[in-house]
Amino acid sequence: MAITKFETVEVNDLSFATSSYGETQTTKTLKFTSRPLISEVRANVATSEKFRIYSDLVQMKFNYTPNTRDIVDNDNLYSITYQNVDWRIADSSISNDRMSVTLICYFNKPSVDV
Amino acid sequence: MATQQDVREYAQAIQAQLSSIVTPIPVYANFNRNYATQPKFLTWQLRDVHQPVYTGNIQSIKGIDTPVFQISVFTQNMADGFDTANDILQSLHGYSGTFGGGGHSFNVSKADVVWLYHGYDNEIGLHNIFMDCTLYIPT
Repeated sequence: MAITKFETVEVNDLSFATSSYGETQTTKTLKFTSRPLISEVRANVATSEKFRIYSDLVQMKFNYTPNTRDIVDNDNLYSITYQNVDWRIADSSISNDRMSVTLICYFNKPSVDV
Repeated sequence: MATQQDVREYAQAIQAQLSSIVTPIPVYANFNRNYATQPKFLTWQLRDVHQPVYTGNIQSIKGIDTPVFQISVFTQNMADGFDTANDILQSLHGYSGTFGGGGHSFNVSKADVVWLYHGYDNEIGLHNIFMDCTLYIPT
């Protein structure tokens, strides 16, 4: 069985504003700190015609709570700070027994020219 | 006959003017996937900024600017899209006077709007209406 580990993460609320230029400004506000089970850490590169896009994926398993249920319902409104990086939620699921919530989070590194 | 005008003012005036026409529908520069959950919004892009220059060695002698900005209206509901696009047409087409707001405005001799086309994007499930607005900015 693969080794998994509980690690401290910060779950942030995201709010979106618009600058005078019409550019979106995202503000992070700490919602709560938690220790999910971290697993399936992987780095990925996708090569498109012009760019290489490096992205990391990680799976986080939280207890099922009203807060984590809310994350599943509105996954665009949350980010997770893990290893000093801001991760966004790519996929979220609630276990069939409603005991846990699993989030697959991604982090994109800047695109690099091929 | 004037110096090159400030494109930063153009951008902020376009944002302010469009926001005031379609409020409370959000207005953004360019498309961003963060809006994917919003049922209606509008984006704009500026292009073709060009003041003709005249012969001679004085760089500051330039003519009237005619920049174009494209307006893209995105809505889940077709009627909302046409309502919003119509609001923009009624308000902007043929308009002359102060353009902008919030400390970023200038005078335009004329605003000229062309409705380009209406489409539907299956992937994002949104109707889109594209319009071009040319501003005639006297110097």
